[in-house]
Amino acid sequence: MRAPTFVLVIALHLLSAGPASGAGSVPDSSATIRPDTWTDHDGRPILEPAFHEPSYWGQQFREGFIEPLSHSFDIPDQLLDISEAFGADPDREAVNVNAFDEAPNSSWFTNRNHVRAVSLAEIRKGPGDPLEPARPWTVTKAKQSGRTRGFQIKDADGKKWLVKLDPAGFPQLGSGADLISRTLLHAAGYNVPHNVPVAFTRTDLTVDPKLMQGKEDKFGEAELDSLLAGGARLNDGRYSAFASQFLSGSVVGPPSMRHRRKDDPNDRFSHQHRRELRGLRVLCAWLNSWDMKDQNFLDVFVETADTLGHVDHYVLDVGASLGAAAAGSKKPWNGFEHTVDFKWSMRRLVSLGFVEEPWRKADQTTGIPSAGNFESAVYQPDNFRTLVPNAAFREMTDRDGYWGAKLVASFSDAQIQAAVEAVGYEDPRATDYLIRTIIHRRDKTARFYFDRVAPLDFFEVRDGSLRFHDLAVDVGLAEPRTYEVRIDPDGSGATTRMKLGAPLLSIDNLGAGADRLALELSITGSGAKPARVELTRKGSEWIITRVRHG
Amino acid sequence: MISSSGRPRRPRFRQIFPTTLFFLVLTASTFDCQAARSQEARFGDSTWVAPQADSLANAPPIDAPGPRVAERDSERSWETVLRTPFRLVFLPFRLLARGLEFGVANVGGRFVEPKAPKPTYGPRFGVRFEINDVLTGLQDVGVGPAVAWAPQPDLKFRASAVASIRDRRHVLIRGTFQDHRPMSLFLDGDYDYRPDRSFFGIGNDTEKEDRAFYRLEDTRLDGSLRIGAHPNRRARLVVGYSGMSPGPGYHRDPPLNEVYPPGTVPYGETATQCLMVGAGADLATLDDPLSPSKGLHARGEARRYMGLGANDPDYNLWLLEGRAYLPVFASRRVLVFRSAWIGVDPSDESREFPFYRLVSSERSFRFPGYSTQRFRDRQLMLGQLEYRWSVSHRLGAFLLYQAGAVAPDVNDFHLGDTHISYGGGLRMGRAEAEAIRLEIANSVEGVHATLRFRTDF
Repeated sequence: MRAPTFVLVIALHLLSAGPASGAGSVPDSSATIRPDTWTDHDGRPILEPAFHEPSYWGQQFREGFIEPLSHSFDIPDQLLDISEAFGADPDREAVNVNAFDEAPNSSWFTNRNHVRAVSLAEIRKGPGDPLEPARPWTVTKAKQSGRTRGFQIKDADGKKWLVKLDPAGFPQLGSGADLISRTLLHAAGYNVPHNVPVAFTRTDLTVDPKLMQGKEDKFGEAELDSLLAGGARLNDGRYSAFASQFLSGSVVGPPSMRHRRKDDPNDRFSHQHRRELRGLRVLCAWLNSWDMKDQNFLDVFVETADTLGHVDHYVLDVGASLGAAAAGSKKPWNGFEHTVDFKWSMRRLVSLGFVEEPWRKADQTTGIPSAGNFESAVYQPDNFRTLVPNAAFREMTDRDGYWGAKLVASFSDAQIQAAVEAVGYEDPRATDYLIRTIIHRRDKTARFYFDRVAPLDFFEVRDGSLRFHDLAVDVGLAEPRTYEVRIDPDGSGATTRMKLGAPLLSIDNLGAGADRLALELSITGSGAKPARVELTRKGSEWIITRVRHG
Repeated sequence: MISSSGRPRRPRFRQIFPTTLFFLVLTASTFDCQAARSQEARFGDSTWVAPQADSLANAPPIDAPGPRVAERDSERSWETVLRTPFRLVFLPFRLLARGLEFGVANVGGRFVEPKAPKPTYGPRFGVRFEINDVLTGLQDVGVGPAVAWAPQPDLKFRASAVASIRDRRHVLIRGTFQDHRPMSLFLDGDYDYRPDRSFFGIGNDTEKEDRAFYRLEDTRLDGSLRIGAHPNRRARLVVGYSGMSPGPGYHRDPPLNEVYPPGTVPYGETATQCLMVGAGADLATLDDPLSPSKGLHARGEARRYMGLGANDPDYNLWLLEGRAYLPVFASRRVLVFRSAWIGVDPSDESREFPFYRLVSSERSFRFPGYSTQRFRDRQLMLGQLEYRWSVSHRLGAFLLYQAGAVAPDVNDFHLGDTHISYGGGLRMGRAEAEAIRLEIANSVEGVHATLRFRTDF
């Protein structure tokens, strides 16, 4: 390609809308579109995509520095922001929601707890089989990426695992946080790897002779001892860690939180516009999972027939959550500020350092090594910040936030207790504190979003009535209350209003002769955005054809 | 109504009943709601099953043939229309951003999070760049080879040679043995040939307009025994050689001899060579070596220079410096006091002293509001007050006020003659006792900006 042509191609690429460009290599036009589907069939057989891992530092620089800076100077962005003050709603809603405002099952997400409560036994067991790496373990490689100390092993059954040590002085801190967050994220619907907290002794380990003979990166018994010296020990002297089983399938690299994978024809929605990735922000705020960069997600190609298969998308690493960080308790500002946080930096600069950030007001020190720095009193879900801005989180709208809060609110006290108790903390203070704090944060998260978007959900037509749940009332965040409904038969614009004393509306006598009913339901006296429901007559019955929250 | 677990209690039946009764009367449509609800599971309970659960339970797997939920997404048309003109106009910036991203992607990690160096390695060759006078306009750039070598775990060498477009020739040799150990040896060689150094005369009242340029060939080789592992708590015994050879400058006008006729500048075209012995120490007690908020730091240095030839001067060079850090109600806000006194003291007061060996307002002793850094004499004093505060996790800002002066003797310092600078800037701790500083300071000569990559203040 000659230079001018090359420059032209680059320029055209840059001129195009970034997120929307980068179409798949194979057109995906054969699938029919069904907005009411509960399964988005994005696992159709494809050839294995190429492995692609973006530069860690390049991605950090772009998301943490270039993107916020360019947004500040982007005139159309500013115009759209200003237009919001005049009542416009320029924000782009998630594109992969179905007619019922839900994210259908896909290779990213499976509807679980908010649709059917996951049993306490399943929560305690976690995803997958209750499998632990069989001893003895052979160390096959020292862990080279990330900040956590660890190594790769092959267990007695020949299975490959990654072992991450808890930092010295903080037994069960990282492994506990990982297990709790991973269990709850999986129960919420996300794909997660099989991780188990493990305790082992030095005699459980041997070093692969091949590793000891390496010329460049020689790793022997002495190096292993040195590595273990930085690891935490339990009261009985065993090392505290967690083991993550290698995912079955072929790793094809971390997905971008911004763009779709170009060589996966199934991947048709820009990731930043996916509901489950936008809504994940709310779950991460709840669990204080503050390091949700692209590299903490992973795509795995799963072969289903011959050489064909599909890509599954995993939330890979949530060890940096609750009060944990790789080297010990998280820093006070983790979860409150980005590494480069222009907003807070400017406030500090202008105030000569006298502004007091929320994380300084928060009493985060628990004094419990296994719990780290974690609190709920100052926590506000909208103040949550990941270490590096996440493109999908940044695009989150109120509707996405409500959906995420619905997932958070779906967890009962008992489920949270089961997830925390599954860790088996040696220090009973950690169990009590974490259960209490996670529950409190759940309630604050739900209350925040339910105040913005009316939590009227799970609509069904039964016995001639439209029934729904007021989630805030169901979970005990609000007293029973009244509702207002605006009815627009046939979409003619001629509306009638009604008051409801309970989440139930008789529709037999409504819209007589009409084939369609549009309802707007709100909570009396609340500023929360209403829920909108559309019903269509099918024979003698009404069926729900569309739901939108907010 | 909050339970002991933190979750609000569910409303009791006794509280609900009157309200429910009222609404039963009010709305006929809710006639059977309580009965229905009492049988329904509540969202958030461990037994919750949504009405849609059956649809989901019967949903086919994702890899089965079936529909997609929506069309491939693309940018909204009106948004494309709105954004395209701006994309065209700002294309150069986007290209620049992508270029920067590419650069950071490939070399960023090396600087932000350098890998722990391997204990030994053979000679590694690279390239060294030097850029001079960045903020006053890119006036000089240089490039040359560099090599690093660690034949033993505690023995390391670095060397580089740079030639610039303005004929600056700079050779650096560094050797360390047992660095960061309680006792270490350092070898420090520096050959710096520069044809466009500025000279404005000697004294505290020199004028910007009296600028002339001279050439200086500065050769220095020091060896030191250092006692103490950390730069902030370390004593030094130093021996060395210093050779300096001046002459009229070139590449920039006017040369020294046109403004200052021969004989008016001491040693204007005469080279000198000296041997040196000395001792010094840094003694600090600081809460944080990168961005201290509390503590004291004292520094002292005494050196004896002995001329090798009959014309070469014998003199002492000494330095006294003190710093104090005081938090302002919190460690992120700090008041910093600094005072420094540096001087040269010739053994034979009756003889002239080479102008290029006088102390001047350069490097650590610069007057930030003055662009020329022209003040040069036998002694220099400065006092500085800074208010520093944290802006980001490693980045700080500061306001500064500085008074500085040069004089031939300590009795010649007068408060009214001091050069005042005031301003502010940004500071980022970089290495164990080094920082990058961007200073923007004002003085009677206007506003001046300086970017310093390696400062210990």
